[in-house]
Amino acid sequence: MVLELQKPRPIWQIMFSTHHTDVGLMYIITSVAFLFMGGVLALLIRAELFFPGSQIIADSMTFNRIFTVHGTTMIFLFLLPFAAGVGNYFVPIMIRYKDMAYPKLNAIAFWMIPPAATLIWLGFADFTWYATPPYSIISAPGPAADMWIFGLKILGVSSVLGAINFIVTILKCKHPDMSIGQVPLLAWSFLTSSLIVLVAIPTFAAALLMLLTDRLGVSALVLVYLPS
Amino acid sequence: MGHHSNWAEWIYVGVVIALMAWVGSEAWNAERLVDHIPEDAEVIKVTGQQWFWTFEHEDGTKEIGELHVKVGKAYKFEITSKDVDHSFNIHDYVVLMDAVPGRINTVWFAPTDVGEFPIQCREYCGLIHYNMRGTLYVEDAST
Amino acid sequence: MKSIFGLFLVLAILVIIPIVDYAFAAGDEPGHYVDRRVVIWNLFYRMMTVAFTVGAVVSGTIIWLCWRFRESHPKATPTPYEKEGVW
Repeated sequence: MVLELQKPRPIWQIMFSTHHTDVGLMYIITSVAFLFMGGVLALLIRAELFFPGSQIIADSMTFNRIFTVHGTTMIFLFLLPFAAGVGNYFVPIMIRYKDMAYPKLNAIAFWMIPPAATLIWLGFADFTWYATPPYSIISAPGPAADMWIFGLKILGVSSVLGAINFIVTILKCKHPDMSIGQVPLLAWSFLTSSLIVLVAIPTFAAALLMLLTDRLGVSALVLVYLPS
Repeated sequence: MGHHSNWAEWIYVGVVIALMAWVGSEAWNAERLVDHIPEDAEVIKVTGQQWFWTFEHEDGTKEIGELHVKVGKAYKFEITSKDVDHSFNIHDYVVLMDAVPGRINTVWFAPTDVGEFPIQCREYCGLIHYNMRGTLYVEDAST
Repeated sequence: MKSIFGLFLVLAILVIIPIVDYAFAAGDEPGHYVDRRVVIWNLFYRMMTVAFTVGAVVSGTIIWLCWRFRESHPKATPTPYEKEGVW
């Protein structure tokens, strides 16, 4: 890392790299950037709530949008990519292998995050980061909600691809002299959380799709009644 | 690799199970007490909509934004919503129940103090959710 | 055998206490309704006490274990892996 800083490779070579350390560092740098962006939103909320009455945020809809994007960013754009980045960097080292099982898939999973983040941040939806229906279906205004849904769908796919990578790497690419019981605990924790992600994110994506089609009015899956 | 005695682990398992049994039974008991609606509770229909509360008493009296009740009497709220999710909350009496469109949720209370208490919405419902409020007026039984 | 007996004794005592409590719990007659505020907040205080006690015990145990079994402890003995020289 020190040598890298003294004589760095050209930036396009780092960004196009599929090596697990480069992808891991890109995950970490992007997620920390989003940590600061979400943190700015949190500071805006705190500044507004410091005294009674309106201070810096003019209307309630802006405030609602700020806490929604703050929550979404902190969970989906900081927490999950940061964990993926730490995993990408350390798991191959822990199991004594040269890279992840699918390096190009790894890079694809990372590069899905900036477009998804752009969708979420350009949309600035207002229905809180858990998008509770019926508000998110019948009352959330404008294209913001649909952009949020698509952004999260893309992030979901990215997480699943990363999870597949982790599971195959840890189970199939560990050093031949290393028995499964000798795999380090941190690698085990990445394995179990990747298994959970593998099962949970497709469910999440299905729920997002149901929400989207309900919003467009082509289905009545979430809202099985008509509000009077 | 000899067998080591594991009485400590079994004690730990026993303590954990006992703790969970105690916590579970205390919580179950509290829920039993709090959910048992008295027979003579007067029914008040509560309807939430964007962004205000309306109330209807048994005798047909309707109120908007204000609720007048008598101290010492039991009241049962039948709560629903007209559009999106809201949550009916009288903070001082720990009354908290979601208002879900298409469904009626029930909660009861018996006010013990005379006075005015705030009612607020506790489920994000859009633009004026932060100000979707009301007032509970608890009056003497004699009036 | 003694450990199983001990386990069941602990369980029996700590399960019977709330059941006995429940049998003598306050009922409701007209004019004397259960004050839900009191019931709920009391449960909250008791659960908080339990939670912080359990938290202190568990985290205190972990801290003691990490301190006692650190590599630089004067009484530290090598692990089987370090003795054999594998990994």
